[in-house]
Amino acid sequence: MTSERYFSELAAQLGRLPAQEREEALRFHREYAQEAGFTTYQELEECFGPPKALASRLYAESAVKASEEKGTGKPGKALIIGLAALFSLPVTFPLVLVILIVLFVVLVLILAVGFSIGVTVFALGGAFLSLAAESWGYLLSFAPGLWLKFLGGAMIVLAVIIIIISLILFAARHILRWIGAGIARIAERRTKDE
Amino acid sequence: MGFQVGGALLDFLVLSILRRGDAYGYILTQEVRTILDVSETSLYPALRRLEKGGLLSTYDMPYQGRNRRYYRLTPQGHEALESYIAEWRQFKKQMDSLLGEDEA
Repeated sequence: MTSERYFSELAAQLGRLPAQEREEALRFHREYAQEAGFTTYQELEECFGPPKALASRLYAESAVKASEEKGTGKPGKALIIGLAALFSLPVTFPLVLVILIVLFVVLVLILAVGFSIGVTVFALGGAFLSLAAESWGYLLSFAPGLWLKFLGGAMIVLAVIIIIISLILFAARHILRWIGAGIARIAERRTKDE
Repeated sequence: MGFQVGGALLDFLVLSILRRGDAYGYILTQEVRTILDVSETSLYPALRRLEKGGLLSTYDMPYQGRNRRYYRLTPQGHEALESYIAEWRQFKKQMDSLLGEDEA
């Protein structure tokens, strides 16, 4: 088997990396192989390990970096690359099962929390609408004191809604990045163990 | 052979090698491996980390109909190396005195 076969397998394994990172990784290892005079699949495998193992290392490294990027980038990116790193590892079936169960539990938790927040925001939205409607009624019946009172109430409720939503978004970004970083570390540790 | 390490010591070694002149991936890996016990796959992540951190820059040089990618220290890289060297001297001094006391 030729070295090209190794690199096409590696490229296929790296499908979930950002395109630029994938190209750079392939370029570096191609150049390395040429300098070292590797021409066969076996020589490359002896040096870098099987394409799948090299890919896991590259995923783990990329995920750790993505999780360390502060503020920039999408918070879900670290999570996705971390998961890709984890699933690119040669793992035994029980471990996959444990990971799937944990992910399922986390998903259910996120859904439950999301649902309760949704209900809260919905109820507050209702309160805002009824207060706003009532203040509008007082405006039409020329009662400026009551109009201001209910309009003020509506504004307070609106402010509470905005605060809740922004807190949730803030927390979600950090939790996603934190989970991504955790998964990436696990994946990195496992690739180093082998 | 040698100390098995990664992280800061590997960064320090890469920067030290590049201080003597620019180098491409393969030759750099070979030089590192004469001193540190690192696998051939651990240099790429280190080089990328240093490049992203602004300590290294790269440029391509044609060689036998293809390109070699050379790594070069940036001014930031030189600065980082200076502080590594200072830390290293301090560490070496303490280590020497510790070992000297042990022998006495």
